Amino acid sequence: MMDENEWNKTGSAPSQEETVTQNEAPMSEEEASKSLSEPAEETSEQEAIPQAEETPEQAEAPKKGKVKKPQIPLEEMEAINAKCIESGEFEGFFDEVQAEKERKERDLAAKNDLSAPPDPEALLEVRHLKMYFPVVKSLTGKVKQWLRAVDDVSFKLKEGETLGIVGESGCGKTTMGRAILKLYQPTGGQIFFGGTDIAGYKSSKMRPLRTQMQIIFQDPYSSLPPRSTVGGILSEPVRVHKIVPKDKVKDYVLEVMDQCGLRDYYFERYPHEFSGGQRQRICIARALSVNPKLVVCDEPVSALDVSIQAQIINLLKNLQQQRGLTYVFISHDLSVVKHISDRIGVMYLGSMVEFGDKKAIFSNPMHPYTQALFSAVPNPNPDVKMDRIVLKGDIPSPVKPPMGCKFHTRCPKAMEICKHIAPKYLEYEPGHFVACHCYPQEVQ
Amino acid sequence: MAEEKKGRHYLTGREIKAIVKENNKVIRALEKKKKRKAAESEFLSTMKDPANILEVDDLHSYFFTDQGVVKAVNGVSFEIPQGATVGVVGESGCGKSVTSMSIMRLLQGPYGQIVSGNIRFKSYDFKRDGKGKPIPIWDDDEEGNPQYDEVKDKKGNVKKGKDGKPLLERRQKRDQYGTRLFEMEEKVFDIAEMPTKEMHRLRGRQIAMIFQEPMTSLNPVFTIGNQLDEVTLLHFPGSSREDAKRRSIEMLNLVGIAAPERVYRSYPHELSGGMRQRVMISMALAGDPRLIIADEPTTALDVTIQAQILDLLRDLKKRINGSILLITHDLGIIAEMADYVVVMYAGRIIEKGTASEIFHHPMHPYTIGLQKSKPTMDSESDTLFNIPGNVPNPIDMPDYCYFRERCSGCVKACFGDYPPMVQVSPTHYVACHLYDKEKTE
Repeated sequence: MMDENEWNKTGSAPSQEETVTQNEAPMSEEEASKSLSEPAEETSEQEAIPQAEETPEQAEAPKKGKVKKPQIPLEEMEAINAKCIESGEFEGFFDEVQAEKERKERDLAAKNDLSAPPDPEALLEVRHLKMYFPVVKSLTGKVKQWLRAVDDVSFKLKEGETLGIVGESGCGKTTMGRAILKLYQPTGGQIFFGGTDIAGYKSSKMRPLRTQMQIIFQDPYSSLPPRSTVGGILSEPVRVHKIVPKDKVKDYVLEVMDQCGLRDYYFERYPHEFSGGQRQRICIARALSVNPKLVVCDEPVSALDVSIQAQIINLLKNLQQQRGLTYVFISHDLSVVKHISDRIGVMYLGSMVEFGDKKAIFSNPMHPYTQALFSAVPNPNPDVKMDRIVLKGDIPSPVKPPMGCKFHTRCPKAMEICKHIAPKYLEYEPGHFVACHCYPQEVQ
Repeated sequence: MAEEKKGRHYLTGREIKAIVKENNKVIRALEKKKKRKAAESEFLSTMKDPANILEVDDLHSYFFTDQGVVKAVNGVSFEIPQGATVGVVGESGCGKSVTSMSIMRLLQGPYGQIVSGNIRFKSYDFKRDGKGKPIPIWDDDEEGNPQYDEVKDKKGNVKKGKDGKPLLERRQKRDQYGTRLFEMEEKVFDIAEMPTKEMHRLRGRQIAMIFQEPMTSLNPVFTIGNQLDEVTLLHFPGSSREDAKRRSIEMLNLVGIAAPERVYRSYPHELSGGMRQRVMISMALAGDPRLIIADEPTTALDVTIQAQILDLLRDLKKRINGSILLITHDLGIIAEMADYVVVMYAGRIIEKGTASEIFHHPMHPYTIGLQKSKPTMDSESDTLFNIPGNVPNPIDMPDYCYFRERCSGCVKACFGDYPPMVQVSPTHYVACHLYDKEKTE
């Protein structure tokens, strides 16, 4: 049976506001908007960022006057918080103040890392990536509420490796994949591709880079234009980016088709004539026709049958060996991710909760969410009865994520501290990052 | 004309016209049979094995398209024992959903039709008096004297008759949810022979269905309560709106919804995917069914929510002592839930047996391939086994084994007829020439 919180966790519950904050001092609308407008400041150099003009002073000013219920100055609240943390008792703890403090600390860390040189070994390095979407706007166009789809994600990926991203739907894995390719303009953070920061690039500047980074979409039925032939679909990127001289385009495309397991007589056919697996092959061939270095695979096999899934996974692996491709493989299916990845990142509500080598993560999953995800995968052996960790409830809404550790509402190991203080994302083994209060919060 | 057709992959207008003409003839006859008025004796039947709750016998369900006849279900036979979970597994397009739709008689007419075969279902039905009214079970006192209750209106006030005295009704026995009880008897219906109108007494009452996509199967313009109440109001005679509401809320409680009254008042779009699927399950339970058909109940859900829903289904099966027909493409789910497994390929059953037989000693090359091609959490191998090729075109199925082109273990006999079902153990059947040969030798 579920506890009372079950209802609260459903994203679109009508009276979410009153229930979510029931244990906490209510946060005024102004304060919420203020804290939300904060992250925009440090990225004010980049274009297309809403309300970049706002200075910290302006944001600070309305806060003191307009906080409704606790009529205590900010310093005092911080002092109470510090005392609470020291004693380990969280009576009267100000969650918003703590959240604000954590946000500032994170922004500061991002600012400090801004000038650090990129890792020369990594093909892709993502630092403090943020992707926010406006949800509620006031009449004047000022954004009142943000959906933090990706909030402060960092990782490195070497050339020729595969990074698997796992998580439930709505955890921001697809948004992250698209933000890396600059299909969305990220709200903040840096994306180093081959040593240059492309986060601030405009779309015109991105165009030559498109030959080096490509994407394979989830649904092969809707991502192919129904009105052009397979040959047309595949030769368009080749012609646009002038990969080969005009008269050799067809031969080149036929070669790519052969590599992807498509027969040459498919050249004249239309997408509707193919089955799902064949269409996904066409999508893969389209992505590879421009010789990319990095391919973001956004759930490429989830729309396919088991027997076809195996074909596509094997194809992706073969192509990686032949061409030395680097994959970011996004999927919700852990067994598929395990099969294809070298490194695995587990996402929950917009942040990375665990990141590490495949072996490290599978032999020693540290975060309770990773453990629960692993135990939830059905085992195709009827005799093995697993002790399953069943998570309660649904994934909370990313518009109003829970205070403290985002996972505490569903966590089987949740402690009192988890409800108030966000755990730090720390490296416990070489290359194995975890954000959880179950482990010491200081780096040795 | 056949020579002409070889070179192209489309049909001419004339060919299509001929096909349509032929189809219409068959469709008209079948539709007439569906709409006929029939006495109950016409579709009453007997079970082969009294321990079974459902027996599907040589079922053929076809779709009459303009391109030709698609034999979506082509001679399928299986049984569901009382209290067991039977899993049907196969790739998309193999006919597993059409099988379940045939059992519910929900095939999209007039093009989708059950052409032949029997579906025998052991059902509870109301005992009826001479006028065709169900006979209630009265809640009399120990001496057998009838008890009377005052009739109340919506506001809870006592209703009064013309003479000013309060109206009385005889007290009827109620179940734990407060629903009136009637005298029941066991009857075996042949669902394939039943006229559509007669199906109303089974659908949602005796056989309930949980659909794949809860968002599209819940009505967006009615509240959850409204849709849940409908089941009670329709299937339990004499129940008032309050009875229905009480039963609906009990049902929502049963599936682990913490705030049932709030969910009762809300619209489907206000709920998350997992909650919607829970509502769907509670709707299926509201009719107190003997058989629940779950058609890919967790495909649209996340892994963690899927674990919740599977736990719930397993728990409920124990509680209501019903049977479940579970349809899925995920071998892992089947292994966890099912007692018996049916493997389908291109409209036919290629293997069936108990779960441990299918998972530990799979015999058909397709079953073996399917298991090997699924990446598992424990596997260490680098490349996955894959079954080459695709499922054959559903129109113009060949008369030899449908799996021949993709099979690695072909023998001479495979170039002959379609292999018959071979019994390899009391419960294990397989349709493959590899095992047929052993038997003849």
